[in-house]
Amino acid sequence: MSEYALGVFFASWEPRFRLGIERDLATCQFLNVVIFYSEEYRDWTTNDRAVVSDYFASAGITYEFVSLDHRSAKDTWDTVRQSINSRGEIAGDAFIDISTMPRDVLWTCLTSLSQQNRKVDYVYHQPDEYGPWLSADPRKPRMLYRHSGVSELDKPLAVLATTGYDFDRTVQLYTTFEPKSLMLAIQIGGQYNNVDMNIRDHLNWATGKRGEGVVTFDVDAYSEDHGLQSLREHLLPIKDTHNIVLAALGPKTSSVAIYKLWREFPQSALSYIPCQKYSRNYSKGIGDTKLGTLE
Amino acid sequence: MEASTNPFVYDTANNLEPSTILDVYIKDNNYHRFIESKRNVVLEGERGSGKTISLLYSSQKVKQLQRERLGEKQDYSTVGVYVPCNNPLMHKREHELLPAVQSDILSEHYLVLVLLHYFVSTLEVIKDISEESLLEIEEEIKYVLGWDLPKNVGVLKGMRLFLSRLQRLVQEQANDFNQEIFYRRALSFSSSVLPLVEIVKSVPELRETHFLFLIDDAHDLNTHQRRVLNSWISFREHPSFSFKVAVAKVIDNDYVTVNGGTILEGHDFTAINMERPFQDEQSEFGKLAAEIVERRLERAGIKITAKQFFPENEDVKREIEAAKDAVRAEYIAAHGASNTKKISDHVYKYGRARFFQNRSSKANHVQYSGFDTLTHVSTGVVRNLLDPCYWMFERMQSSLKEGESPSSITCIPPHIQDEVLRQRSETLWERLQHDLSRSVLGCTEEQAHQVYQLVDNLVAHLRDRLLNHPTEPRAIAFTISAQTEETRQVLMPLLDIARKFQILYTRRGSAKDEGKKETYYVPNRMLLLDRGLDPVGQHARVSLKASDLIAASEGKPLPSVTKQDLLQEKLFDE
Repeated sequence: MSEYALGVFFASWEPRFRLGIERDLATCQFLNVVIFYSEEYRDWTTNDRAVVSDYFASAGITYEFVSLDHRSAKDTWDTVRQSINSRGEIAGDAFIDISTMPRDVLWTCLTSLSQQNRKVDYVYHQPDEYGPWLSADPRKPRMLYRHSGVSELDKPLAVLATTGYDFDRTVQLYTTFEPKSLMLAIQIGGQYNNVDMNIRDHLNWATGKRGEGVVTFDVDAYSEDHGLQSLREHLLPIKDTHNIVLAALGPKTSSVAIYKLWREFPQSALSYIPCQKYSRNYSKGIGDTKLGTLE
Repeated sequence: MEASTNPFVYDTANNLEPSTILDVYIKDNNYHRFIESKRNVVLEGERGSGKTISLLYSSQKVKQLQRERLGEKQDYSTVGVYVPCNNPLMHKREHELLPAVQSDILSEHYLVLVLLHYFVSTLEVIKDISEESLLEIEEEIKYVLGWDLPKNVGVLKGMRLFLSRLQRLVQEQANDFNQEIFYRRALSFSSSVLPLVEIVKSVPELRETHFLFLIDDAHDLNTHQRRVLNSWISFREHPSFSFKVAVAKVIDNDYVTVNGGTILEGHDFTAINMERPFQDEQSEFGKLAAEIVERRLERAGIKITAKQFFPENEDVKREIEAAKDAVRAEYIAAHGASNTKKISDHVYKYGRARFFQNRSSKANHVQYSGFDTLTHVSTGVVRNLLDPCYWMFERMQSSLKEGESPSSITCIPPHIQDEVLRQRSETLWERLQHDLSRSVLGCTEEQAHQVYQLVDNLVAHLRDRLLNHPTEPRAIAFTISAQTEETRQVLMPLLDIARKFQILYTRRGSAKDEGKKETYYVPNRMLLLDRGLDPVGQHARVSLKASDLIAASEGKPLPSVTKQDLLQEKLFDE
């Protein structure tokens, strides 16, 4: 059994939220747990929150559900930071289940936990399958507070993004930032209908924009380093010549890789794209589990 | 333009070299003199309407190159400072974590840093400032502004490096959890830009200079920054500088200042709509379109007029003339031949419509060709003009034999023009159906579907008019009647999405009531081709009820044209 002072989760209506916690509790012990959830989707997560409530209570774990108004970036930032910081006195390692966690919340948690000098382990539970659509109506891309890097007005802008099933979000990234260079790291493999839902759309679009600074390369978010080495190789040649915006639109583990890349190159900016609509049938079941440590 | 042999390749103006801007930009029949004036100007228009290239043409780099090419002495009576607002500093949001007053101060600081950076970079382009003047500037900057410039790098470069350092400091502080976000030495327009401009103007070489601050993509500023900019604009008639501000068209553009006042069009600034309402041959845009095309062709080694390069199908031309003749003869038979103006008006209204009405009974489609058609299809937007031209040229280029130069292409045959125009029209409909929600920020999938249905039904209605309307068959612009607050809340967001996607354009024109101005709407005429309509259109507007338009967005066709409707319809001749 691994022992953690602090566990961080994000409640979702996806089955892998509850099933994931079952797996987590089978292998880990926690002193204190915080479970964030979106106020906007409160009704969708009521039942599963009640179930995991019982899990934690039965295990004698101190836990707290914390509501986030995810439509407000400031509220989300302040609440997540305050929740993590208020647990600063609980010494020990931290565990974070990133499976159903929005990227801005994930990165805010990773930074807050790291600032407490904790060792941070993360887990990602893949689903059995994804629904026909995941999210829609993306909002304007935003830079994460205090992770927005240092840019120079004389330098051109490059955006480096891992791609996912929401092609709309990639297009929003491009039209908002209007970068001189857009580097798309496209997840390899046929899992979860990846060819139809990710590769094809992005390659077709990128081919049409080849003369306009859009390039693609392969990445494997399910590998041990979640594609970090490949991302690093593409960023290194331009790190001094370009302002850089990083975005993770691909599998959730690529968000960890992007975050690690940002830590290596803090002059770059972390960017995310909130969505207005999420699918009730986002995913089914639970698949493999990936583990990692934030070095 | 940089690497392609196609003279109509369209690149965003920011990607063009100054030499290319000089080569392709047409200042006549454009708004160049407004931009060069000492008045504040707001340029409104969606992407592709020519805002950026118009500003860049007045930037110091381009003007300097132009004089070098002409062998003329440099003239610094106006110096254009190009300031792009879509830059990484403007995407920063840390100020949102601060209390309101501090947030506003930090917001303005970012904007001022950007303005100062491009101001100083522009000064660096000017080679005629003497060493003595530069030292004078340096001394005054140290004394008045307290700037500690780096040594041994030159005054202007030193200023730019100093500002780069300030940019870096404020960003590092914002990202450093060990420091507060708020930057206590924030700059403002009055504390830095105003004195710096006066310092620079104190030297002989720039004493008479009027600086044009060419602010591009001002819609990318946050609310406070826009209000700060509006406050700067309210410094109207300042002898040392003026603002030329390019914004994507916003129906309810915010002209509020930081003090809650409002800047007024006509009083504080001149507003220019970059999307031209008229596209006929004699209009400003018609002449501009011809010049743009001919200049680009000449640059590609093809010396020919736009009309010769894009000839009209002779059979279609004859049939249209025959339809006009028939309509003329009918009118004369009914009313006599004495009133030539009335005859001419009648032929204008019904001649082309008769041609289209005749076509509808035949199996084959209308052939679209000719430079006039291209100009009208553009709906007054330069990019819309260049896009089909580009694809037509590509088609011709792909059929060249080995060794044949693109400059050997001396015309685009009418059937190629027609095929490409139809393809582009079909593509636009497909994009409208599938790309709307991903292309327009904030557009939901539901709204995308509503907009598609609205436009689909609108164009069907216009076709109905073309084939059946007894008085104004070729009207394609419309106004909205019977608007209530309720209908406004439903309809206006959809029209705004359509406008942002550039399938609908808004115009301001005279209303019949008491000479007021009213807003009217024109569909992107490229949409009309796929449905067999006349892109040339007519200077008339139809009045459509808000409730009917809302119903159209829900899939219901607009009411068919009846005589009863004619009695109630408001029609305007311009």
